[in-house]
Amino acid sequence: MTPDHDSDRPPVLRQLGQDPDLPAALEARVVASLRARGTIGRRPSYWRQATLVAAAVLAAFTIGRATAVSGSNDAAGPRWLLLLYEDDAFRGPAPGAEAAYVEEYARWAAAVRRSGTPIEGAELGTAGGLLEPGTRLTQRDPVVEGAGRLTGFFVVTAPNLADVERLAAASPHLRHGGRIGIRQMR
Amino acid sequence: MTDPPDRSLVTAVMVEQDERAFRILYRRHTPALHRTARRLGDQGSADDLVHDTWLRATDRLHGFAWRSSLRTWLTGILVNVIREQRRSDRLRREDPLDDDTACDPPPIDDRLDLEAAIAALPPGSRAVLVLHDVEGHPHEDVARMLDIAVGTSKSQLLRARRRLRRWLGDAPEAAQDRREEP
Repeated sequence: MTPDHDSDRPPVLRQLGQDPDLPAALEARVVASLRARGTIGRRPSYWRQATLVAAAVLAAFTIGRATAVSGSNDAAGPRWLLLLYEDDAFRGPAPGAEAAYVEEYARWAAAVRRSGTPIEGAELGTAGGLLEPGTRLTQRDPVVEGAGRLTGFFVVTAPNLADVERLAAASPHLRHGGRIGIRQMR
Repeated sequence: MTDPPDRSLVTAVMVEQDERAFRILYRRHTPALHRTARRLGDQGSADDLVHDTWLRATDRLHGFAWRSSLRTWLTGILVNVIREQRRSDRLRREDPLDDDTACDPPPIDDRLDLEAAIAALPPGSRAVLVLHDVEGHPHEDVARMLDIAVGTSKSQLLRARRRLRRWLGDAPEAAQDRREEP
């Protein structure tokens, strides 16, 4: 509502819109209905979500590229880098379960995108190395002390760190024993 | 500490099925939805209309692209729920929400009752008046919700205001009415 719009509304009618009409029993009824549907209160069935995202899944982390900035162009807020680390404690996929493992990450990213938060990402390969001050590129996997090997990243657009923490906490990477570094991009 | 913005709460509901986030959204937007449902829907059905609106809205959250405010989007869903209620009600002689036929003024005992006067307006004018003047939606949003042209929204609002002024007597808006007359 713009100030010009507000001044166009007769005050006696505008006042009717200030009534905090909130029937107490109705909230309990709505919440109960949504709980019964699984919309709130428990984790959704991943199989139900899989049918929604199957068309968007290409491969591990490529859903990030497929859906890059596919969210609203009106997304507000800074961009955040989610760095995925793995060390020896990380629980990767069992032999034969690689596809399901990949799809788990893809479903999480698709859910973030459907919620209106733009997300992009990629798996990082082993080619490359580490640059340190005064040295040339060294051909080895960079190992960040205390975090592990950097194996992937996502970029999300969100208004604040609390939002990023919330969606990152739901990432399967943590459930598998990995760590996620978060940095605001400048 | 202020509650998070709508977008953060919607993310929490979609990604984590966060009930606390939903309740904040519910309490933030239901007063406006319930007021609109009381004034545009059938008597006594406001609770059902709001309940159905929230269920439909949460089913469709994944498709909401934030091209409007969440409040506007929710109100649009409520308007459609009301339309469907009117179409399915075969016991009353219903006018569609976008109709603006002539109507009888409220009974003389209620002449000074603003709510009774609003309820006596034809459905089309009443919808525009409630959405624009009471709830503060701009004409562009009102037109989209009611599937009418922006010009129609403005002309129906003018007719609604004039009727209220005539029925309610010498209200402050009567002076504005006189200024608008050629």
